[in-house]
Amino acid sequence: MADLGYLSLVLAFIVTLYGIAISLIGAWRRDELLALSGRNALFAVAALVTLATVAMWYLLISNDFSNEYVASHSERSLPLFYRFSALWGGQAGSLLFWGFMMALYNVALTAVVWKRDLKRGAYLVATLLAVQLFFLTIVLFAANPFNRLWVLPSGATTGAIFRPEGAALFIPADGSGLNPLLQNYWMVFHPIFLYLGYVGLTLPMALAVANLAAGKLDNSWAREVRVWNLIPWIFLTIGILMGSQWAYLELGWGGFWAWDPVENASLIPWLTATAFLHSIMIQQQRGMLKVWNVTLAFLGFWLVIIGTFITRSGIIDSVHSFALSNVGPLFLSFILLTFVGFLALLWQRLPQLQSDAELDSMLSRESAFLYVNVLFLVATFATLFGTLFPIISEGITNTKIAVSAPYFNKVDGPIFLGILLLMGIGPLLGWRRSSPGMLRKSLAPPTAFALATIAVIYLIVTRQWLPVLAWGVCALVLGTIFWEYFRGARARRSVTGESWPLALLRVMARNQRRYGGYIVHLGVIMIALAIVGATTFQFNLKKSLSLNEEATLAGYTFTYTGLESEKASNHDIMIANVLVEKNGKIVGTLKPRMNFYANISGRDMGPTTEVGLRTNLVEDVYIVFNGWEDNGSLAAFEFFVNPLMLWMWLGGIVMVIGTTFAIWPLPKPAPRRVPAASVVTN
Amino acid sequence: MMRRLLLALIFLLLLAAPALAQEGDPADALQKDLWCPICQGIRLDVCDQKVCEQMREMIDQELAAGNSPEQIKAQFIELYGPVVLGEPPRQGFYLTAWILPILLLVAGLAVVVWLTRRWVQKPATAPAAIATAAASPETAPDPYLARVEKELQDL
Amino acid sequence: MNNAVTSSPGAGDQPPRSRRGGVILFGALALVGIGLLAVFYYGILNPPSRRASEGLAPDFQITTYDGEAMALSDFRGTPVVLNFWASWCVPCRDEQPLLQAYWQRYQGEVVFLGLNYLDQRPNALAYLAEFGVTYPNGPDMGSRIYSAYRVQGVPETFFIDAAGQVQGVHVGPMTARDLEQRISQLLNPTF
Repeated sequence: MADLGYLSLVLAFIVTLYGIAISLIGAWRRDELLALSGRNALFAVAALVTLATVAMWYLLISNDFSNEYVASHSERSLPLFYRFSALWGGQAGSLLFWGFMMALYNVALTAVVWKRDLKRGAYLVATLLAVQLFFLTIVLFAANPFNRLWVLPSGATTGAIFRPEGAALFIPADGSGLNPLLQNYWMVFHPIFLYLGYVGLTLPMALAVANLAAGKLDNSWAREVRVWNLIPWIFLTIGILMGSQWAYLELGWGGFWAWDPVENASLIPWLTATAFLHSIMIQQQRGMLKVWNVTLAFLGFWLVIIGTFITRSGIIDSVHSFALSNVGPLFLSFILLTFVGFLALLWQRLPQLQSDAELDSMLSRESAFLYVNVLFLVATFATLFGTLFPIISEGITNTKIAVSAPYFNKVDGPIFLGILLLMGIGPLLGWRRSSPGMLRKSLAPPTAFALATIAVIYLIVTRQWLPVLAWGVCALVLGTIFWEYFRGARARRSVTGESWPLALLRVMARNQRRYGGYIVHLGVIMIALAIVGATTFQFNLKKSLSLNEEATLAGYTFTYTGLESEKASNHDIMIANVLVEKNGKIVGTLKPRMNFYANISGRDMGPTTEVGLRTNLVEDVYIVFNGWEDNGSLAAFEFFVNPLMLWMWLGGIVMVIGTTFAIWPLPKPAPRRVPAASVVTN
Repeated sequence: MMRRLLLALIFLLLLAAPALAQEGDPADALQKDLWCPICQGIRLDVCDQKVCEQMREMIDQELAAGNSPEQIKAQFIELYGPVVLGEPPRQGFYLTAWILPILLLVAGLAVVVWLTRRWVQKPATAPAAIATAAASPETAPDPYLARVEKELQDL
Repeated sequence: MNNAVTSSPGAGDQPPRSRRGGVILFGALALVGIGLLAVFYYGILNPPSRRASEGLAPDFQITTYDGEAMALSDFRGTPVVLNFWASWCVPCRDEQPLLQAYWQRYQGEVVFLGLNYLDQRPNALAYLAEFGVTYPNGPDMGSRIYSAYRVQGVPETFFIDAAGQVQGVHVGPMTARDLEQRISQLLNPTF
């Protein structure tokens, strides 16, 4: 199986090279046969990479410890589920998985957008395969998951494909197991979604590059790219949220986002992809911002590669980055090559990329989109700069400066608040032009709602300025969203006389993108609500309790009622029972636990904690079990009460619903009512 | 109406301002303001490293000795280094981390103002044609939405 | 700016000034990209794992817990064993008796210097008293020396020869054999 996997990777590598060459020649000579051959090469590469991935899964599931990757990331007692997910539990495997996802995306994109534009299609295949080639190169030459284990004459073991001089095959009796922190179901799904997002951001870039290369510089790409940006974007959104859910449940520190370099690496391309999905609308509607849009499409992809480089090359310390490895120089070369290549292409096409249209007033939806673009880009820059600041400061001042949450909260926080504010104002501005008078008029109902909310929060909930301000802005956005729905339904109703719900549904169905977008905004507001609530009103208490002793926090009483132990296939579990009461009423018993894994990659990782959690719309009760003494007569806990956390995960679901609604191919009614003059001709 | 609402908002925020000064337990507040020097992004109050335990003890002792939270923070910076702040100190080269994002923001906003101004100044060429040239079937003007859009524009 | 190339249909009737935005954007992108690449290149050359394990040992001044001011360069001519430790560090406790014993054995031949990292005076003094440490120890104020030596955690020990060159680093607690071997290398550079 290892041979089969390795062989298909080598073949994929060769076919990729062929595909790139033949596509470029095909595009140059405008030869349909060559271009088609290039496209078929892309399909063949996908099949070969899939075969290699299946082979790797086979090795993992069959516990083939002669394979270096299996031996160091799995073990006999590892449950089947985690043996399956061990594919993305380490450097080499996750890069293979990456290549696999890339192959699937390539097939989907090529199959859908190939059509008749031969030259563009050929450039597209060449671009996609060039990225695929990079991952195949890494997997084959720097981090090969099909390496076998060998024992050298010196007695040391090593991983290699071919027999090193004088070495003998080595098959350990058991593997050293998967990192216990990864043995959590969120950690199984989180990387899948994250990679689907990461890898997918190649597609907008590839479309931009192919169009630039083929000289197809009209605005049709704006419509085409939209869905290929939205799909990875929503996957990335889900991936990021699942990652925070994992951090929340597994790391036991009461928080969900630590501004760790690995987390930042996923947020940075998300920010540019979000900017892109807004600014591409301006091009689609108005034929403006052509240079900016191709740049953003490239940046999303480039920042994914940069983020991967930062977290995998070992240039930065991170709690959960991959071990130091030799993929760094390869990544850096790829970053440089793609950058130079894109700049050259852009420079060549710059004279032809000019705006079709202009504005009638400086206050318009276009300008709101532009301002929000600036905010997203500044947030991208600040997050990247902060993440790299330890390196930069060391290079310049010889002192490595640690940069964590306070910096990012202070810098990104106000920017995000500004984005929220624009989210409340932007939709109320008209395309082309608006006037302060009209804006004031349409802003009045949402503003009134926001002010009323602020007054209620101020009088009843809190007098801290941050939540009052931030929730006030959230209320403004909420008001705008509902106002927009109301106006749309009202406008339709006044013509058709339909009932309110019907009018609303019809107007939504006819403008999926707009109203789907507002649903996504609603999800964002829910997440903002949770972030502000959980960061400003968190209560926590560290305390050791003896048996039946009580602790109180934020109206809750916690009573430690004893320890239990359990055994799972590859670890021992110690469970502490904590009775939770609120105002004398029993809420339930929470069971925070500690998991003890033996023999992890030769080093003692210490136990992992799993929090005891009870969640509702108001607040989470969250208990971390930190250790015990004297057979459990004394146990150490940290208690948290985290307000509004559930809204964060619900907001994520709403974002998914909104995105799905926006891109779902609903049958379009014939545009009967549209005046003939404005019917589209493309 | 808007102006009055805005005034009310400003008034409310002014009322809220004193809340800034109100703080609970100073030890707790200080713990929430400092960061574990050997972890990454873990606040002092939730960290269970031994270094952090010692730091929390020091906070209690120094507060009991009558030192102000600011003094204690300065002591930590002198002894442990700026790492306890979790952010670049606001001095010398480290200021770039604070100033660059602001500069970029100002520059970005200036560019947008400059761009939109230029676009506005250009003579309009047959607006109707342009408005629909790029529109796709998906965004083909829904007559109802057009009504909403029209409402948004100054007439 | 290159105004000559306006070949694409439809572009010709646009005033050329509308290209300025694209050029500015292009320039900004190039600038940011080059900056980033420079940072990454530096990062690749200096990963956190690359300690100050060779070359001239960075000089520093400390004031020991006995109130004595000293600099590393004061010891030029004598090999130095430079140990980073902390009172909260559990593995440091394993090697502390060894360090004291070897200092007593090689007194006069080798200088031992302890640098106390992320620690407070009372805790440090209690730790030194517990192990009866008599070689000079002082706080690494603001973790500056730690940073200059690119230490990654305590305990870590640097071996500096008579010429002030770093001969090696030991990461983590040392055994008697480790220490014996390193010191004999310092004393017999040809070995």
